[in-house]
Amino acid sequence: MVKKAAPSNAQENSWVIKVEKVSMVFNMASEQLNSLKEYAIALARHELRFKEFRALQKVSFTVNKGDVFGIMGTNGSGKSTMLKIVAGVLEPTEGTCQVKGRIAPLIELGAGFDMELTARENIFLNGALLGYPKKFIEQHLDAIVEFAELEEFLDMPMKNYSSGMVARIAFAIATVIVPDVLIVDEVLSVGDFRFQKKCENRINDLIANHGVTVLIVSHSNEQIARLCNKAIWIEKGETQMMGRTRDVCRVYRALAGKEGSTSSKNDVLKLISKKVKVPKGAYDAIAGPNVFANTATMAKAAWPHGLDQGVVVMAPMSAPAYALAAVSLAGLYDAPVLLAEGDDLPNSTVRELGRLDPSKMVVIGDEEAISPKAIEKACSMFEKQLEVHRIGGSIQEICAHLLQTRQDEWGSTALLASSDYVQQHWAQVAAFAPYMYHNHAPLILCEQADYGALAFSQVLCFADDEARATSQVSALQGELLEFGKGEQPSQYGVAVLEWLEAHQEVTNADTIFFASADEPWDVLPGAAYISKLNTNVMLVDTANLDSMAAAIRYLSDRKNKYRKIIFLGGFMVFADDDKELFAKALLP
Amino acid sequence: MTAGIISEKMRKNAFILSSLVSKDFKLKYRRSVLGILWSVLNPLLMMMVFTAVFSTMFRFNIADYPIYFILGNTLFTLMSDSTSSAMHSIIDSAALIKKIRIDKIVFPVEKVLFQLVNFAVSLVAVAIVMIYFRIMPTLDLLLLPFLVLCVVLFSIGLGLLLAALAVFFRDICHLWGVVLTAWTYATPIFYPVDQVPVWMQQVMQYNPMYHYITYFRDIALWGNTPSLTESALCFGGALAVFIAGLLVFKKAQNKFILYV
Repeated sequence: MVKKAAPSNAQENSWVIKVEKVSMVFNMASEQLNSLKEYAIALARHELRFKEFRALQKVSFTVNKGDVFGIMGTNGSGKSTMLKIVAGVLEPTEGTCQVKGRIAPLIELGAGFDMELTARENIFLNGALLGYPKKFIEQHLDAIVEFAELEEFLDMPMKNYSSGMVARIAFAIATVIVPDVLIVDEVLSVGDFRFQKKCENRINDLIANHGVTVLIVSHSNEQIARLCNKAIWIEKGETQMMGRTRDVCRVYRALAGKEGSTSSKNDVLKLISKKVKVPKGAYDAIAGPNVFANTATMAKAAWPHGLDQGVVVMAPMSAPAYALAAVSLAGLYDAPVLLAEGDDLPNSTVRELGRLDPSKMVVIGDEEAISPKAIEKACSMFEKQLEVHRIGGSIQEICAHLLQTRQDEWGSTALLASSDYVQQHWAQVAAFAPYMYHNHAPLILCEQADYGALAFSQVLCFADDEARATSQVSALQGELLEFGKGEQPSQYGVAVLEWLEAHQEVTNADTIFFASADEPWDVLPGAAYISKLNTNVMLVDTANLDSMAAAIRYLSDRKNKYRKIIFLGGFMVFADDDKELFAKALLP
Repeated sequence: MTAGIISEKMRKNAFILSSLVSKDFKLKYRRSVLGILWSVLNPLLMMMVFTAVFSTMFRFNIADYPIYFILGNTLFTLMSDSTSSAMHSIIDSAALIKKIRIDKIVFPVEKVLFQLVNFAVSLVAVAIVMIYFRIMPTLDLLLLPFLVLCVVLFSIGLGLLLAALAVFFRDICHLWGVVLTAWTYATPIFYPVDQVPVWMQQVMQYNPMYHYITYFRDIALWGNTPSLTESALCFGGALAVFIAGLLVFKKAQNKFILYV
């Protein structure tokens, strides 16, 4: 063993909590054996097998005096188990946990209260259970009562109290003493706002004026970031990261609760820790208050001077397939797609319609999807007569109708899928929406009865029900291209773009769009705008690390091509950290 | 240093015990008109019922039957109530055990001590009956604290064992009621010992409660001074059960939190 130098020894002495390689294993009986008979039977049959559940896996950390230490993790990550071990309630299976001094646990306030007793009696009982001497409680009774604000109710049975009052008394008892270590377990979510503030003030007072060491457990990033100076992030019982709160919080925000392989995680982590400043203008977002506003914004960007007697296509929000059909039709007219929902025409749609000033409006869908009332509202804006043409019926009928009535106008490529496939994997098809718009590619649904005498040079077939699709493709003329790259955005997101790169004319567009694979209503109406910028859209699932890593790899391979990312959707779709992260991937 | 820590721990536990006992005491009599009087009345009423049944219907030939019964009954009740409430104590304190670092042993011990308080109150009933029947107490009665110590040790040991087992096997809770009933009949509480067959009298030698109750009657009713062997037997048995219970409890207590 190497002898440690003196300074490190001095530092070692200042620890208050020292957790070393703590593992916690729960033996979960594969079936609950709660009776002697069951136990005996299982024992006799040699069936007494246990499933091992590792709640914690060799977790180590040291908390020094005066630290405010945060433990982060999603639900079920093992952070509460860790806290119970520090509080001395639970014995670790392996490893050691040492705590110097007196611990005041705030784990679930009011655990020892008896609701039949009065508040006064409960204060003494709870104080005793927390290990306070009787004299101490007598001396501090007034302080407790004052903090909890219950002077008039002191001798009333606790069962008549509100839950807020109970929490107040519990907090007051737990913090009346100046402990060496204070353990706070998401308790600050109890009680009303004013009391929460009071509790936080008391904790801050203990930290600032008494040098109390605090251990806080939370899945709220904000609370940890606000109160702590050091933090650890535990996920599935394993330490993910430990260090300064700022760093841990940043990584936690980007990675917590997301699924993905280890290599994807490492890719994302590598990019997070890359120290480059993302310049202003490296990314932008179309993030209005709702999808209607976003749609209007994109229409305005694509047609800054209005339409001048053109056509507008109105798509319902009943299913993504309708919007895809609307996009293909809009491509023929070179028209914008606007969104409507049921009875009402949203204000931002109405305003944009007025600005565009079309002469004709094509409405996709039945009267249930877009009601006559909504149409009327649109027409009433104009002094002139707005020509309205409705294409109704089922989605199969609509697609068949478009296919036949516009026979001569379609381009050389068509997209073929079953309507179930479009419903389930709309995002895969949606990634082609700008291509559909630009190349006049129709959407053909397998269930369509009649294809007419159409000939395409290539048919892009989304294979789920392959046999069925293929048999009908034979009725169509043209080369069959199968496309079915898997169901996850991590699998198809990049694949679609690579296919498009191979099959499109090379452009010098330096902007790429990002959209969420969870939200169709940003990307579908945006197809016209994306197509006008001669670029494409990447569909990602930001809750999935594999998808994120695939997108990051795609971007970093094209650092020379793209200079800017435009994200479709508000902060609910893309968090600021995610946007920064993708933008970073384009930087050298 | 360590001695200081231990004595502080003892003081802390003593305060917890007294707080819990006073809580149980308050809760037991809260909102009843007669309050603590019930602890005196209950043994008396029970005695009247048994006296009515067994001196008129079955006619046991026992001198001073009421006092014979009440002595046996109060002592047996101390043991049975202690053990059954101690048995539930850990399960009932689950909320606390999961949250606070606390010596878990205080919960079963507290239940036994609370029953001891009740026993002390019901001794008033015994005194009343003794006065009524004009039984002169002898010096032997000074051995009562020793007897109570034995029964309390015995009950704590049994209570600890049951409390620990009940955490892992809830069946114990259901079973113990039946065992207690059987034990009541296997102990000469309301019948004379010579009433039962000889072989059963021999078996009864292995029943600790038989010894304790006989000891009680010896010193309080019959004026017999128990032999030193008998006293040693009573204490030795109690100590053995206490140690056994303590060992099992100590061994199991770290796992309680996973099962309650």
